[in-house]
Amino acid sequence: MNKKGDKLNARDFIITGIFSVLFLMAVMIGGGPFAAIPSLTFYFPIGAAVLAGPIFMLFIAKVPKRGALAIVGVVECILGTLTGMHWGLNFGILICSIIAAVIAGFENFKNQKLNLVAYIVYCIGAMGTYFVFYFNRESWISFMLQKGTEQSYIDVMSSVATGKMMLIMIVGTIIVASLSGLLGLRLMRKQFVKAGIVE
Amino acid sequence: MIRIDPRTKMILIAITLLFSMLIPTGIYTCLWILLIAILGILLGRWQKTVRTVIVFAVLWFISLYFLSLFSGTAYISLMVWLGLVFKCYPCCMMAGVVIGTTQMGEFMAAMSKWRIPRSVVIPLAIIFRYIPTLKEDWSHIRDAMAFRGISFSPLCFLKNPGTVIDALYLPVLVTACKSADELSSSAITRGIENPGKRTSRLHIKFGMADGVLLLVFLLAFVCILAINKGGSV
Repeated sequence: MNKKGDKLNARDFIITGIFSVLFLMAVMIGGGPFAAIPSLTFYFPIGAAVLAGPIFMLFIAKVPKRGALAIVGVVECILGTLTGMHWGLNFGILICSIIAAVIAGFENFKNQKLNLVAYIVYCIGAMGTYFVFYFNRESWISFMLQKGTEQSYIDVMSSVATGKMMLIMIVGTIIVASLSGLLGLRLMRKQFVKAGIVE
Repeated sequence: MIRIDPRTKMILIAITLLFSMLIPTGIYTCLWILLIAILGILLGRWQKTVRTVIVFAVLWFISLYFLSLFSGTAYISLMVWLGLVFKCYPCCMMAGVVIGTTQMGEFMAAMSKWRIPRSVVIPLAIIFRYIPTLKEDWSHIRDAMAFRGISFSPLCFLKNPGTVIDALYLPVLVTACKSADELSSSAITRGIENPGKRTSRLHIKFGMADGVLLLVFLLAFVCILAINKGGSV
């Protein structure tokens, strides 16, 4: 982190801001419809992973520094807290984006396989709240009830929450994330490098 | 019309957040919407504020009088959806008022007074600044592609996914990159990289109006909380 080339400048901050918007939009368009319907809520991480792959690949090619991804995590965490999301989701995204930054940073964001792994890790962050749900159901329910989520939402959610669903969620997210990441890598090779947007 | 400190607005957002976290949906939500509406009108944003209040009122009446016409699954999904909407409405409305009435310069000056690191403030400021631009770019791209018969609908996507990705998704990313470059050159020209202490032409300080508003919101919140806790125990 203390290397000289690793320090972020104003340009990197601005790019980080713009790509945070794109990440948020991708999550809202891809995952938003799932989150609002209780029986489909467990597909939310899968939906959230659909669109963001190319954005992620382009972002780490534009700003190949570890701090940048961590800042995306921090900003999304702040916005999530302000809009009243569950802390599992916010800190899941924060922690996973830091891990993703470390993974992709091993090879200075140049190794495509590591970038793909980093994107999958980043997508797992959206599952944070469901992990809390599985491992500590009572506290999760009381937290959400206290926050004013409707009892009926939680009832429907609990009825579909089985171990099988958890498996589908994790495997589905990993599959969708790798497809989206591969698409991103392909777009990078085919379009962005040729167009001179990234070196 | 009054002007208040951006820091006051941040604190008001925090109170509204606490409100929607701690207090169940009910008559107090209406009260809170009313408070935010008064704030919005005082800040000189009456047109949009009135519109949001009307939308809220319509939804509220639907939930009161028409929801009982449905039954079964439709009823539950509608109720859950409306519950979520009512939960988020105060926060979103407050955020709308704050974002609509705060200039970026004011926001940055206030945040630097709070000594929040620039690595967080700049991306946040860019987020608020960039969302309208993204909307505009997106509608231009969509219009241009509608001429060629390409739309983002699922049907079109299933027919030829490659074209849809190339024609709609890529332009968004490319314009985002372009505007990132443009924004950063304009910001660097205006000295965003200056390592010294940030100074501002604007006078940012707490005044009379800030104190009164904070007092009103805090008092209302504490009263509602007290009544609510007293009623439930």
